[in-house]
Amino acid sequence: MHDPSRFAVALALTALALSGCAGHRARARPSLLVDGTRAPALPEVLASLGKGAVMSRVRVLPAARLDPRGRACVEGFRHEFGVSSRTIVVERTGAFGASITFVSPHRRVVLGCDRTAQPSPSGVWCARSVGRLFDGRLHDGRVDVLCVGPTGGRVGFAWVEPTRRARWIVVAQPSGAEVEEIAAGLPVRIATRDVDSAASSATFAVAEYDSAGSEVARYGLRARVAG
Amino acid sequence: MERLSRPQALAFAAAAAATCALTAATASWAYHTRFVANNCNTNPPQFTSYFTRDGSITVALYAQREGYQWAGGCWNDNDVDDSPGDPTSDPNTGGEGPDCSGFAFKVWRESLNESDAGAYQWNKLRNVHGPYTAARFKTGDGAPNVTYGKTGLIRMDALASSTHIGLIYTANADGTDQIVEAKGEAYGTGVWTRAYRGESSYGGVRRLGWDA
Repeated sequence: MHDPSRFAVALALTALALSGCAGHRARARPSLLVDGTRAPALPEVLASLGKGAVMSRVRVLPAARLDPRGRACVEGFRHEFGVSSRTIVVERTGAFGASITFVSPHRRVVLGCDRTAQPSPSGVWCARSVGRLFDGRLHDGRVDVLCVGPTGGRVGFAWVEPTRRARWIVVAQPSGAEVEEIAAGLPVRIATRDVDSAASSATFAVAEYDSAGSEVARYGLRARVAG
Repeated sequence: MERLSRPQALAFAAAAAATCALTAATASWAYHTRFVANNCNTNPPQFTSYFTRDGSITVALYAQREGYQWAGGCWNDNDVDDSPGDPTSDPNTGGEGPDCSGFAFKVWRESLNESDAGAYQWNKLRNVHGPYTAARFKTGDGAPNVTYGKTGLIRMDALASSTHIGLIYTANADGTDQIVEAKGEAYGTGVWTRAYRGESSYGGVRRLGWDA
């Protein structure tokens, strides 16, 4: 799924790490997430990412316990894919975008919805995506490039599947980085503002870290709209 | 969110540019045909002030027997899939043909700008997919597109699920349709009898603005 192999491409992340304050204690930061709440504190082992890194809030819960907009997303797939209120959902709320991700019964497809801080004309969610799983894995990140952020720019979303050792995904952003904790064994929906509308594609600079805060992978993902 | 200092931001920008350049490169081990690289272009489309359903049928039939490519949107007109057997659902194989949503985009002569409802003629060899997935078409996203009741659909309207879209070539008397569609790597692009209209997972979609 990574494009097309795992090059050593995420120099952006290196720059971000070098520009940080390694060795300092992480602390709660006033950064706001797309729902207006404050971001959780960065894990101490990721303190080297520096001041520009913002931790997304991640919740794993049954669909029945989602708020009404979350339930509406799941309900939108219920008939076509047989998902139920017991379906386990990963809800992510970040500084650039928010999403929910879940899989259909028997893990045939991964499903989800995306949004930004900008209200969508067609409802709360600005995108809904479906990805076919092959032996439990995606061949394609199912990028969406039509969501719009609060400043009018495009926000792209895609799923990545982290390596087995990874605990966190770090996505470089123009003003820092977004940190996503891996959860429930599901692909991680990530966001970027690096969208090429002419090519219907989005580019993500990604690094993966293990529970000790060591980098275990880095790669660039240039994902194109498909299917 | 706090912004990086100017030196930090400059370092980030330089690194990000390098990231993009390197990311665009191609891994030597990956499966990759040369069809797109050798045949396709990025020419701008031609705006057209008059477009018809019959005209779109002509556009659609050029793609018949030209194969299927996940994320694809470029084909010639030699009635042969010049890159058969591409790995399934891999957007980077560089093969001939459209996928289902790229096919609908090109046949419906849509714009890359989803706010633009105008009609644009894309050359067969113009490699373009467009911004819509089947799921986006199903919900009528994009200025030219609307959801539409399935009983009222006519030729060159579409039936879309969250994972596939096909265009109505002609309706059959028994309630099925002849659907022109990019079906998959194993099937290619062509016209088949389908019962999508009767399947609950499929909804109707109409491209607006036809002159005839």
